[in-house]
Amino acid sequence: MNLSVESIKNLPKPILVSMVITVLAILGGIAVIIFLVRPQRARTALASKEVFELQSTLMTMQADIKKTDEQVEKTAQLKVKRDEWITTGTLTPYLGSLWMGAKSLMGPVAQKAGFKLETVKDYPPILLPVLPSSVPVEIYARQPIEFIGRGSFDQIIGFIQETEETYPLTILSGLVILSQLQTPECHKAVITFEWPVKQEWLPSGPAGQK
Amino acid sequence: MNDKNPLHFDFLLDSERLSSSQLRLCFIVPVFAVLCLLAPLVVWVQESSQANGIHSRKQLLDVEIASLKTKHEHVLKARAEEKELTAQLQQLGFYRTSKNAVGATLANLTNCVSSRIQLTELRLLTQTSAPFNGPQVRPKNALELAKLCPTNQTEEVTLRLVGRSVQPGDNPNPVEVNRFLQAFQTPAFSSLVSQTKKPKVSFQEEASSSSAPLGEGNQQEFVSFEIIYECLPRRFQ
Repeated sequence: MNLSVESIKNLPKPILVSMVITVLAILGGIAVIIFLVRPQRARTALASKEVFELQSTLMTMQADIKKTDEQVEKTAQLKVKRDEWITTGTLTPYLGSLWMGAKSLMGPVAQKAGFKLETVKDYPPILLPVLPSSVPVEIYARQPIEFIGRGSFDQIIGFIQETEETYPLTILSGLVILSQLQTPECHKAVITFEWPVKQEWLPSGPAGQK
Repeated sequence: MNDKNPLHFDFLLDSERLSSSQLRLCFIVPVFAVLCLLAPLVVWVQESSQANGIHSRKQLLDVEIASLKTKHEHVLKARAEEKELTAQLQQLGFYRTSKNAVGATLANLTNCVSSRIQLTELRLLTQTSAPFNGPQVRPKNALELAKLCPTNQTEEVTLRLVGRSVQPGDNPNPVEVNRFLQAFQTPAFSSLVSQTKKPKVSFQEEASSSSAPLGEGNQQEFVSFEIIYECLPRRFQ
């Protein structure tokens, strides 16, 4: 079949018109698919995805909101427990220093036990362990405070017992009792207790204040 | 034309005879092509209306979510606070479980130290981990600080007892010290010393003295001793 411009020109006018319409319509159809249908379909798919995500977000939010009272109550209970531990167990600074806080706390206990306190000293704090899965924003450390004093064995042990009973989070981490030749009934004791302290309360200067 | 059927009349003109097939092509092909154009247009219109519906649904959801945002933030805040409190309590819990109350146990010492033994030194020491040395290494925020925290920790505790005992001249065995050691194997001291590990005991004879405060007689020898017990470790778990 020999197709040339001349042969097309020689075709009857209706055929020519129909050919032009056909070509234009096919090209138009292709253009509609490329420039309208496909982008629109992509936009619709994207919007559908967004709507799906929004729906799931909304459902999650609604489910969370339903549990508001339960969650608030649970948090409040934990807060009470934490605050109780902090107020009864942790060491707070007194006049800006932890050893002063410990001294003011332990002075009456020592007096009650008959242990004569002579020196109080703080040591560098030691960070408490944390689980990598739940790292708190507020870190706690343990603060060793050394108490040096004199007393009989019963008084020294009485001081330790009284402290352990009165302050449940106070832990004896070191004890040295040295007998004195001059005073056989009165010994020198170096007692180290530890308290949990908030990281923000840790001293900014060097430890070892007396 | 057809000689056998003289009654057959052919009224078609020549132009009509030619146009019957040409008319079909000229009509059907463009119609089909136009349909090819219209079909995507219909699909596009349908997609557009669907997109409009999705868009309005999205707007509705946005409004609904915005209206719940305050309430939801309240819950999320409570949840974050719960997580923080749990982590704090866990950390304090590690500390609390490391407590071995020793006061009452040490009070039992007076019951097992006989009048023929004199303790001159008692050391209960914990091998603590490295301290946090304040400003020199202090990180900028809590997360950096948390990286410095140990994840699991056990600290060894030792009890060192030094003293002297009266030893009868004819008996080479330090009877009183052995009795003292046996007392540590009783349940009274089970919360302090490890019952499974034997203590390290060493003796040293002292120069005899007749005016010693511990003995009654004049013919007595003294033996100084050192006992080191491995105590129950502090476990921060």
